[in-house]
Amino acid sequence: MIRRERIFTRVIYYASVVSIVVLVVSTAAEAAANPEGFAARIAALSHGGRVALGGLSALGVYIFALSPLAALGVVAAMSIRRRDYPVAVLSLLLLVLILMALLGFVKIAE
Amino acid sequence: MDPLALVVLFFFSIGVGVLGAVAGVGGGVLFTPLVLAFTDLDINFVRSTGLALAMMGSAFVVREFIEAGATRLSLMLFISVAVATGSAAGAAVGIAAVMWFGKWGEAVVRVMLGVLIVAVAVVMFFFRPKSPPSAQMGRVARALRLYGVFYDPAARKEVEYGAGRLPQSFVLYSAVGFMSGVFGVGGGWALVPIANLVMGLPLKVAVATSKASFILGDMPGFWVYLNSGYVEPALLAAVMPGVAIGSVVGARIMLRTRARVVRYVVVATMLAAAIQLIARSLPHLLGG
Repeated sequence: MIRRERIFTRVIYYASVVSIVVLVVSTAAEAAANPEGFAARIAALSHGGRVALGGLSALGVYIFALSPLAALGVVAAMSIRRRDYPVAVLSLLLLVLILMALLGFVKIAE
Repeated sequence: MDPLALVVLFFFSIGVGVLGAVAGVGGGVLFTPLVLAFTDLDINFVRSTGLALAMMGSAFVVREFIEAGATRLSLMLFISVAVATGSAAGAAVGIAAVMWFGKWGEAVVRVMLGVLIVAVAVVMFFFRPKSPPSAQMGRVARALRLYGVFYDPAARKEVEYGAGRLPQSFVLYSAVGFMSGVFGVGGGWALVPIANLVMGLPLKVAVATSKASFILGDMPGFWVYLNSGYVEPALLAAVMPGVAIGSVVGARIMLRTRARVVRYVVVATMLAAAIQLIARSLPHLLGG
Protein backbone atom coordinates (compact mmCIF):
# COMPACT_ATOMS: atom_id res chain seq x y z
CA MET A 1 0.00 0.00 0.00
CA ILE A 2 1.45 3.35 -0.96
CA ARG A 3 1.82 6.21 1.51
CA ARG A 4 -1.15 8.14 0.16
CA GLU A 5 -3.58 5.25 0.73
CA ARG A 6 -2.07 4.58 4.17
CA ILE A 7 -2.60 8.18 5.28
CA PHE A 8 -6.13 8.23 3.82
CA THR A 9 -7.27 5.07 5.62
CA ARG A 10 -5.62 6.03 8.91
CA VAL A 11 -7.20 9.48 8.99
CA ILE A 12 -10.65 7.92 8.43
CA TYR A 13 -10.14 5.07 10.89
CA TYR A 14 -8.61 7.00 13.79
CA ALA A 15 -11.03 9.91 13.42
CA SER A 16 -13.91 7.43 13.76
CA VAL A 17 -12.39 5.83 16.85
CA VAL A 18 -11.71 9.23 18.45
CA SER A 19 -15.21 10.47 17.63
CA ILE A 20 -16.79 7.39 19.27
CA VAL A 21 -14.71 7.90 22.43
CA VAL A 22 -15.51 11.62 22.58
CA LEU A 23 -19.24 10.99 22.00
CA VAL A 24 -19.49 8.30 24.67
CA VAL A 25 -17.49 10.28 27.27
CA SER A 26 -19.37 13.53 26.63
CA THR A 27 -22.79 11.83 26.73
CA ALA A 28 -21.96 10.03 29.98
CA ALA A 29 -20.64 13.29 31.49
CA GLU A 30 -23.77 15.21 30.44
CA ALA A 31 -26.06 12.53 31.85
CA ALA A 32 -24.15 12.48 35.16
CA ALA A 33 -23.95 16.27 35.51
CA ASN A 34 -27.59 17.03 34.75
CA PRO A 35 -29.80 13.91 34.82
CA GLU A 36 -33.11 15.79 34.60
CA GLY A 37 -31.99 17.94 31.67
CA PHE A 38 -30.58 14.93 29.87
CA ALA A 39 -33.79 12.94 30.42
CA ALA A 40 -35.84 15.85 29.06
CA ARG A 41 -33.60 16.08 25.99
CA ILE A 42 -33.92 12.37 25.25
CA ALA A 43 -37.68 12.46 25.82
CA ALA A 44 -37.92 15.30 23.29
CA LEU A 45 -36.47 13.06 20.59
CA SER A 46 -39.89 11.44 20.22
CA HIS A 47 -41.57 14.77 19.50
CA GLY A 48 -39.39 16.07 16.68
CA GLY A 49 -37.76 19.46 16.97
CA ARG A 50 -34.14 20.28 16.30
CA VAL A 51 -30.91 19.86 18.21
CA ALA A 52 -28.42 22.70 18.67
CA LEU A 53 -25.02 21.04 18.97
CA GLY A 54 -22.63 22.33 21.59
CA GLY A 55 -19.83 21.33 23.92
CA LEU A 56 -17.78 18.17 23.78
CA SER A 57 -20.47 16.10 22.08
CA ALA A 58 -20.48 18.52 19.13
CA LEU A 59 -16.74 18.01 18.88
CA GLY A 60 -17.31 14.25 18.58
CA VAL A 61 -19.84 14.71 15.77
CA TYR A 62 -17.65 17.20 13.88
CA ILE A 63 -14.52 15.03 14.13
CA PHE A 64 -16.49 12.25 12.45
CA ALA A 65 -18.15 14.47 9.86
CA LEU A 66 -14.99 16.39 8.91
CA SER A 67 -12.62 13.41 8.70
CA PRO A 68 -13.44 12.60 5.04
CA LEU A 69 -12.64 16.20 4.09
CA ALA A 70 -9.23 15.97 5.74
CA ALA A 71 -8.56 12.58 4.17
CA LEU A 72 -9.64 13.76 0.70
CA GLY A 73 -7.57 16.91 1.01
CA VAL A 74 -4.46 14.85 1.72
CA VAL A 75 -5.24 12.48 -1.16
CA ALA A 76 -5.81 15.36 -3.59
CA ALA A 77 -2.58 17.15 -2.59
CA MET A 78 -0.45 14.00 -2.75
CA SER A 79 -2.01 12.93 -6.06
CA ILE A 80 -1.26 16.30 -7.66
CA ARG A 81 2.32 16.07 -6.42
CA ARG A 82 2.63 12.54 -7.83
CA ARG A 83 0.94 13.65 -11.07
CA ASP A 84 -1.75 11.04 -10.56
CA TYR A 85 -4.38 13.32 -12.08
CA PRO A 86 -7.33 10.86 -12.27
CA VAL A 87 -7.32 10.37 -8.49
CA ALA A 88 -6.69 14.08 -7.94
CA VAL A 89 -9.70 15.05 -10.08
CA LEU A 90 -12.03 12.51 -8.43
CA SER A 91 -10.98 13.46 -4.90
CA LEU A 92 -11.34 17.19 -5.62
CA LEU A 93 -14.77 16.58 -7.13
CA LEU A 94 -15.88 14.69 -4.05
CA LEU A 95 -14.35 17.33 -1.81
CA VAL A 96 -16.44 19.98 -3.56
CA LEU A 97 -19.65 17.89 -3.24
CA ILE A 98 -19.14 17.40 0.51
CA LEU A 99 -18.19 21.07 0.96
CA MET A 100 -21.37 22.15 -0.83
CA ALA A 101 -23.45 20.13 1.64
CA LEU A 102 -21.37 21.34 4.58
CA LEU A 103 -21.73 24.99 3.63
CA GLY A 104 -25.49 24.63 3.34
CA PHE A 105 -25.88 24.82 -0.45
CA VAL A 106 -28.58 22.20 -0.06
CA LYS A 107 -31.16 23.98 2.11
CA ILE A 108 -34.75 23.21 2.93
CA ALA A 109 -36.99 26.25 3.07
CA GLU A 110 -39.45 26.19 6.00
CA MET B 1 -38.11 8.22 25.00
CA ASP B 2 -36.59 7.24 28.32
CA PRO B 3 -32.78 7.69 28.79
CA LEU B 4 -32.59 3.98 29.69
CA ALA B 5 -33.74 3.28 26.13
CA LEU B 6 -30.25 4.43 25.04
CA VAL B 7 -28.82 1.38 26.85
CA VAL B 8 -31.36 -0.82 25.06
CA LEU B 9 -30.36 0.84 21.75
CA PHE B 10 -26.70 0.08 22.51
CA PHE B 11 -27.41 -3.66 22.92
CA PHE B 12 -29.79 -3.57 19.94
CA SER B 13 -27.07 -2.03 17.77
CA ILE B 14 -24.66 -4.82 18.80
CA GLY B 15 -27.23 -7.25 17.39
CA VAL B 16 -27.54 -5.15 14.22
CA GLY B 17 -23.75 -5.15 13.85
CA VAL B 18 -23.54 -8.92 14.27
CA LEU B 19 -26.39 -9.69 11.86
CA GLY B 20 -25.16 -7.13 9.34
CA ALA B 21 -21.62 -8.52 9.31
CA VAL B 22 -22.72 -12.15 9.03
CA ALA B 23 -25.33 -11.48 6.35
CA GLY B 24 -23.11 -9.02 4.45
CA VAL B 25 -25.37 -5.96 4.68
CA GLY B 26 -24.64 -2.58 6.21
CA GLY B 27 -26.11 -1.67 9.57
CA GLY B 28 -28.39 1.10 8.28
CA VAL B 29 -30.68 -1.14 6.27
CA LEU B 30 -31.53 -3.08 9.47
CA PHE B 31 -31.31 -0.25 12.01
CA THR B 32 -33.50 2.39 10.36
CA PRO B 33 -36.58 0.27 9.53
CA LEU B 34 -36.47 -1.64 12.84
CA VAL B 35 -36.18 1.50 15.00
CA LEU B 36 -38.84 3.32 12.97
CA ALA B 37 -41.16 0.33 13.13
CA PHE B 38 -40.86 -0.45 16.84
CA THR B 39 -40.05 2.86 18.62
CA ASP B 40 -41.57 6.34 18.72
CA LEU B 41 -38.31 8.15 17.87
CA ASP B 42 -38.58 11.06 15.44
CA ILE B 43 -37.99 9.96 11.84
CA ASN B 44 -35.29 12.58 11.10
CA PHE B 45 -33.10 11.56 14.05
CA VAL B 46 -33.44 7.89 13.12
CA ARG B 47 -32.46 8.54 9.49
CA SER B 48 -29.41 10.62 10.37
CA THR B 49 -28.32 7.96 12.88
CA GLY B 50 -28.84 5.22 10.27
CA LEU B 51 -26.62 7.11 7.81
CA ALA B 52 -23.94 7.66 10.46
CA LEU B 53 -24.08 4.00 11.31
CA ALA B 54 -23.54 2.93 7.68
CA MET B 55 -20.60 5.33 7.37
CA MET B 56 -19.08 4.17 10.66
CA GLY B 57 -19.18 0.56 9.45
CA SER B 58 -17.41 1.69 6.28
CA ALA B 59 -14.75 3.64 8.21
CA PHE B 60 -13.78 0.49 10.09
CA VAL B 61 -13.32 -1.69 7.00
CA VAL B 62 -11.84 0.72 4.44
CA ARG B 63 -8.31 0.26 5.77
CA GLU B 64 -8.54 -3.53 5.69
CA PHE B 65 -9.91 -3.62 2.14
CA ILE B 66 -7.33 -1.24 0.68
CA GLU B 67 -4.49 -3.01 2.50
CA ALA B 68 -5.69 -6.36 1.12
CA GLY B 69 -5.74 -4.88 -2.38
CA ALA B 70 -9.43 -5.71 -2.76
CA THR B 71 -10.23 -2.20 -3.96
CA ARG B 72 -8.49 0.77 -5.55
CA LEU B 73 -8.75 4.35 -4.41
CA SER B 74 -9.73 5.53 -7.92
CA LEU B 75 -12.58 3.00 -8.11
CA MET B 76 -13.78 3.87 -4.61
CA LEU B 77 -13.69 7.59 -5.42
CA PHE B 78 -15.64 7.11 -8.67
CA ILE B 79 -18.46 5.27 -6.86
CA SER B 80 -18.37 7.79 -3.99
CA VAL B 81 -18.75 10.75 -6.38
CA ALA B 82 -21.80 9.10 -7.96
CA VAL B 83 -23.39 8.23 -4.58
CA ALA B 84 -22.59 11.70 -3.17
CA THR B 85 -24.35 13.36 -6.12
CA GLY B 86 -27.66 11.84 -5.03
CA SER B 87 -27.09 11.67 -1.28
CA ALA B 88 -27.46 15.37 -0.35
CA ALA B 89 -30.49 15.80 -2.63
CA GLY B 90 -32.08 12.70 -1.10
CA ALA B 91 -31.58 13.94 2.46
CA ALA B 92 -33.06 17.33 1.53
CA VAL B 93 -36.11 15.71 -0.09
CA GLY B 94 -36.56 13.41 2.93
CA ILE B 95 -36.48 16.33 5.40
CA ALA B 96 -38.67 18.52 3.18
CA ALA B 97 -41.32 15.78 2.86
CA VAL B 98 -41.71 15.66 6.64
CA MET B 99 -41.39 19.44 7.13
CA TRP B 100 -43.86 20.50 4.44
CA PHE B 101 -46.41 17.70 4.62
CA GLY B 102 -46.29 16.90 8.36
CA LYS B 103 -47.65 13.53 9.53
CA TRP B 104 -48.89 12.70 6.04
CA GLY B 105 -45.43 13.33 4.51
CA GLU B 106 -43.83 11.27 7.25
CA ALA B 107 -46.27 8.43 6.62
CA VAL B 108 -45.44 8.53 2.88
CA VAL B 109 -41.71 8.26 3.66
CA ARG B 110 -42.32 5.42 6.14
CA VAL B 111 -44.50 3.44 3.71
CA MET B 112 -41.97 3.97 0.89
CA LEU B 113 -39.20 2.79 3.20
CA GLY B 114 -41.28 -0.28 4.02
CA VAL B 115 -41.72 -1.02 0.31
CA LEU B 116 -37.98 -0.44 -0.30
CA ILE B 117 -37.07 -2.83 2.52
CA VAL B 118 -39.34 -5.51 1.03
CA ALA B 119 -37.55 -4.98 -2.30
CA VAL B 120 -34.14 -5.22 -0.61
CA ALA B 121 -35.19 -8.45 1.13
CA VAL B 122 -36.26 -9.87 -2.24
CA VAL B 123 -32.92 -8.80 -3.82
CA MET B 124 -31.04 -10.39 -0.91
CA PHE B 125 -33.03 -13.58 -1.24
CA PHE B 126 -32.61 -13.98 -4.98
CA PHE B 127 -29.30 -12.22 -5.78
CA ARG B 128 -26.72 -14.71 -6.93
CA PRO B 129 -23.30 -13.28 -7.76
CA LYS B 130 -22.16 -13.95 -11.28
CA SER B 131 -18.78 -14.31 -12.80
CA PRO B 132 -18.37 -10.85 -14.25
CA PRO B 133 -18.48 -10.54 -18.03
CA SER B 134 -15.21 -9.69 -19.73
CA ALA B 135 -14.65 -6.03 -18.91
CA GLN B 136 -15.43 -3.70 -21.78
CA MET B 137 -13.58 -0.68 -20.50
CA GLY B 138 -14.16 2.59 -22.23
CA ARG B 139 -11.75 5.49 -22.63
CA VAL B 140 -13.01 7.21 -19.48
CA ALA B 141 -12.47 4.08 -17.37
CA ARG B 142 -8.93 3.79 -18.74
CA ALA B 143 -8.24 7.47 -18.17
CA LEU B 144 -9.50 7.26 -14.57
CA ARG B 145 -7.56 4.00 -14.08
CA LEU B 146 -10.59 2.06 -12.94
CA TYR B 147 -8.84 -1.29 -13.31
CA GLY B 148 -6.45 -3.39 -11.33
CA VAL B 149 -5.27 -6.78 -10.18
CA PHE B 150 -5.85 -8.44 -6.83
CA TYR B 151 -4.70 -11.71 -5.33
CA ASP B 152 -7.62 -13.95 -4.39
CA PRO B 153 -6.40 -16.17 -1.54
CA ALA B 154 -9.39 -18.53 -1.89
CA ALA B 155 -8.76 -19.17 -5.59
CA ARG B 156 -4.98 -18.81 -5.09
CA LYS B 157 -4.56 -16.73 -8.19
CA GLU B 158 -4.37 -13.14 -9.34
CA VAL B 159 -7.60 -11.75 -10.77
CA GLU B 160 -7.58 -8.89 -13.26
CA TYR B 161 -10.55 -6.58 -13.33
CA GLY B 162 -11.76 -3.43 -15.04
CA ALA B 163 -14.87 -1.28 -14.69
CA GLY B 164 -17.30 -1.24 -17.61
CA ARG B 165 -20.61 0.55 -18.37
CA LEU B 166 -19.65 3.74 -16.51
CA PRO B 167 -22.60 5.96 -17.57
CA GLN B 168 -25.22 3.38 -16.56
CA SER B 169 -23.53 2.57 -13.28
CA PHE B 170 -23.05 6.29 -12.46
CA VAL B 171 -26.79 6.91 -12.86
CA LEU B 172 -27.65 3.84 -10.78
CA TYR B 173 -25.19 4.80 -8.03
CA SER B 174 -26.66 8.32 -7.90
CA ALA B 175 -30.15 6.83 -7.54
CA VAL B 176 -28.91 4.64 -4.66
CA GLY B 177 -27.30 7.71 -3.05
CA PHE B 178 -30.62 9.54 -3.35
CA MET B 179 -32.54 6.72 -1.65
CA SER B 180 -29.80 6.48 0.94
CA GLY B 181 -30.30 10.16 1.79
CA VAL B 182 -34.10 9.99 1.83
CA PHE B 183 -34.35 6.89 4.02
CA GLY B 184 -31.04 6.81 5.93
CA VAL B 185 -30.30 3.21 5.06
CA GLY B 186 -26.78 3.17 3.62
CA GLY B 187 -26.80 1.36 0.30
CA GLY B 188 -24.66 -1.79 0.32
CA TRP B 189 -27.70 -3.87 -0.66
CA ALA B 190 -27.73 -2.11 -4.06
CA LEU B 191 -24.10 -1.07 -4.56
CA VAL B 192 -22.75 -4.62 -4.54
CA PRO B 193 -25.13 -5.95 -7.25
CA ILE B 194 -24.46 -2.84 -9.39
CA ALA B 195 -20.68 -3.21 -9.08
CA ASN B 196 -20.87 -6.93 -9.82
CA LEU B 197 -23.59 -7.16 -12.47
CA VAL B 198 -23.37 -3.76 -14.21
CA MET B 199 -19.73 -2.70 -13.87
CA GLY B 200 -18.52 -6.28 -14.20
CA LEU B 201 -16.29 -6.32 -11.13
CA PRO B 202 -15.47 -9.61 -9.40
CA LEU B 203 -17.64 -10.16 -6.31
CA LYS B 204 -14.88 -9.60 -3.75
CA VAL B 205 -13.83 -6.34 -5.40
CA ALA B 206 -17.50 -5.32 -5.67
CA VAL B 207 -18.13 -5.95 -1.95
CA ALA B 208 -14.92 -4.26 -0.82
CA THR B 209 -15.35 -1.20 -3.05
CA SER B 210 -19.03 -0.74 -2.20
CA LYS B 211 -18.53 -1.03 1.56
CA ALA B 212 -15.52 1.29 1.50
CA SER B 213 -17.44 3.91 -0.51
CA PHE B 214 -20.11 4.72 2.14
CA ILE B 215 -17.88 6.85 4.33
CA LEU B 216 -17.35 9.32 1.47
CA GLY B 217 -20.50 8.89 -0.61
CA ASP B 218 -23.06 9.23 2.21
CA MET B 219 -21.30 12.14 3.93
CA PRO B 220 -23.10 14.96 1.99
CA GLY B 221 -26.44 13.51 3.08
CA PHE B 222 -25.26 13.37 6.68
CA TRP B 223 -24.18 17.04 6.49
CA VAL B 224 -27.66 18.04 5.31
CA TYR B 225 -29.16 16.37 8.42
CA LEU B 226 -26.43 17.91 10.60
CA ASN B 227 -26.99 21.44 9.25
CA SER B 228 -30.75 21.02 9.72
CA GLY B 229 -30.34 20.14 13.43
CA TYR B 230 -31.36 16.49 13.11
CA VAL B 231 -28.23 14.81 14.51
CA GLU B 232 -28.43 13.88 18.21
CA PRO B 233 -24.99 13.06 19.72
CA ALA B 234 -26.51 10.90 22.50
CA LEU B 235 -28.08 8.60 19.89
CA LEU B 236 -24.78 8.32 18.02
CA ALA B 237 -22.99 7.60 21.33
CA ALA B 238 -25.42 4.75 22.03
CA VAL B 239 -25.41 3.22 18.57
CA MET B 240 -21.93 3.67 17.09
CA PRO B 241 -19.92 1.66 19.66
CA GLY B 242 -22.58 -1.04 19.60
CA VAL B 243 -22.31 -1.48 15.85
CA ALA B 244 -18.50 -1.40 15.99
CA ILE B 245 -18.49 -4.19 18.61
CA GLY B 246 -21.20 -6.13 16.79
CA SER B 247 -19.32 -5.96 13.46
CA VAL B 248 -16.14 -7.38 15.01
CA VAL B 249 -18.08 -10.19 16.75
CA GLY B 250 -20.14 -10.83 13.60
CA ALA B 251 -17.02 -11.12 11.44
CA ARG B 252 -15.77 -13.90 13.75
CA ILE B 253 -19.12 -15.67 13.91
CA MET B 254 -19.37 -15.54 10.12
CA LEU B 255 -16.48 -17.96 9.79
CA ARG B 256 -18.30 -20.62 11.83
CA THR B 257 -21.90 -20.05 10.77
CA ARG B 258 -23.87 -21.16 7.75
CA ALA B 259 -24.27 -17.82 6.02
CA ARG B 260 -27.44 -18.94 4.23
CA VAL B 261 -29.30 -19.55 7.52
CA VAL B 262 -28.33 -16.10 8.83
CA ARG B 263 -29.34 -14.55 5.54
CA TYR B 264 -32.83 -16.03 5.90
CA VAL B 265 -33.04 -14.68 9.47
CA VAL B 266 -32.06 -11.21 8.26
CA VAL B 267 -34.53 -11.33 5.38
CA ALA B 268 -37.30 -12.41 7.77
CA THR B 269 -36.37 -9.61 10.23
CA MET B 270 -36.42 -7.03 7.43
CA LEU B 271 -39.81 -8.24 6.19
CA ALA B 272 -41.24 -8.07 9.73
CA ALA B 273 -39.93 -4.51 10.15
CA ALA B 274 -41.29 -3.50 6.73
CA ILE B 275 -44.76 -4.91 7.46
CA GLN B 276 -44.87 -3.17 10.86
CA LEU B 277 -43.69 0.11 9.27
CA ILE B 278 -46.38 -0.01 6.59
CA ALA B 279 -49.08 -1.12 9.05
CA ARG B 280 -48.29 1.73 11.46
CA SER B 281 -48.15 4.37 8.74
CA LEU B 282 -51.11 3.41 6.54
CA PRO B 283 -53.77 4.93 8.85
CA HIS B 284 -51.96 8.32 8.70
CA LEU B 285 -51.57 8.00 4.95
CA LEU B 286 -55.19 7.10 4.29
CA GLY B 287 -56.45 9.58 6.86
CA GLY B 288 -54.81 12.41 4.89
